[in-house]
This record gives sequence, structure tokens and C-alpha cells, in this order.
Amino acid sequence: MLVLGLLVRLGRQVLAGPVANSGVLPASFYRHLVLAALEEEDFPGALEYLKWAGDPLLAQIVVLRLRLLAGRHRRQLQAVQDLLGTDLPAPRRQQYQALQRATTRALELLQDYEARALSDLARPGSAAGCD
Amino acid sequence: MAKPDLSLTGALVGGMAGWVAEVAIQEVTGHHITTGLLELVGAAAGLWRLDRRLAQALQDTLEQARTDQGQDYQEVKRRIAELTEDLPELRDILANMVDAGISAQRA
Repeated sequence: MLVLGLLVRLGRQVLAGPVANSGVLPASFYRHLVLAALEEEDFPGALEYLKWAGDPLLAQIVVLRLRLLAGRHRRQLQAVQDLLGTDLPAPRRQQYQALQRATTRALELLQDYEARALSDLARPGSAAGCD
Repeated sequence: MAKPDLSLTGALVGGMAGWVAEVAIQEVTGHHITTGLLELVGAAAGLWRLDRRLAQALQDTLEQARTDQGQDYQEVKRRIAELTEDLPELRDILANMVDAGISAQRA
């Protein structure tokens, strides 16, 4: 009984981990994972499974979400840069400079994610799921 | 029907052995069994309502665009068209959704 329990556990583990990450499960499973990641705004997570989701519409949603988020960051960066152009006390200036660096870094990451999503979209066969 | 024989010691030993196996598998494969199982259960529950979730994702995307551009549907439509120039399928769907919003606003 114990051996059977261990075998079942091992089987589940193999299915949930390495098998899911190898892209052999049905495309609808990966669509679910991408949607779940999108709901949490977890873009790296969404991109991880997007290549196996086989759904161009889903990839387009990810791209648009990334562009909308990047737009918000660009507006924030512009506002911070405007503030840095004014006369500010040194501690406040340092805070805005740190925010500027963080926002710039976030924008770079978002651009990288967008490029990855677009490459998934352009990949031959991305329109064909394996349901 | 015979009453099932339950053994507390057996359960403890089984649980302990399972835990040891879980830790061993985690060490070898680098994956968490519990996390993986929860993912599978979540996926199974989520699969049957995939279409609804996709529609919700579209709705959320439109909502985010509206948050950025205010409540003016025409402005939202223009902005979405701008951002989805290379995403034709999504552009058409969202344009239809915005048109429906405009119609509802006028009604």
C-alpha cells in the first residue's frame, strides 16, 4: 500500500512539474496557465506558457497588456523627469532619482517581455493548438 | 459490509514516508509536489471555463485602457487602435467591444 502511495505521488509529481514544463500537455491547459498568470499580472509566468498555448489571440492580449503597462510607466517617468527638472531638496531629489532608475529598469523589462510575446506570436504554428 | 480497519500508526508511517519521498523528489527534480498538485487542480477547474476567462481577460484589458484614457470611449478606441496596429484580431474584437460601449452610453 505504501509503495502504491509513493508511486501515485511520484506520478503526480512528474505530471505537475517536468511534464507541464515540457509542453506536452493539451494547449488548453497552457491557456489556463497563461490566463491565470495574466490575472495576477505575472508577465514572466504568462510568457513561460504562452509558447505552448497555441492561441494567437491570447498572445495579442499579453502584448497589449504589456504596452498599456509600459505606457503607464512612461507617463510616470515623464512626471519624475519633470520634477527632477525643478528645484528640489537633496533628499527628495535622491528619492526621485531612485524612482527614475526603477521605472527605467521596469520599462526595459516590459520591452523585453513584449519582444518575447511578439516572437511567440510570429512563430510558425502559434495559431495551431494541440487540443 | 465489514468495518474498514484503520491504523493510526500506519497512517503516521505512511504520512512520514510520503513526506520523505516528497522531500527527496523535490531535491532531485527541483519541483514542489504541493505547488504542482495545486496547479493541476486549478488547471482542471479552470479548463471548463476557459472561454469565459478569455472574455474576462479581454474585458480587463479594455478596462485598463479606459483607466489610462479616462471615460471617453472615442479616445479609448483611438488609443487601442494605435496600440494594436500589428495585432489585427485583437484590434477588431476590442473595437467591437468599444462600439458596444459607445452604443450603450448613447442609449
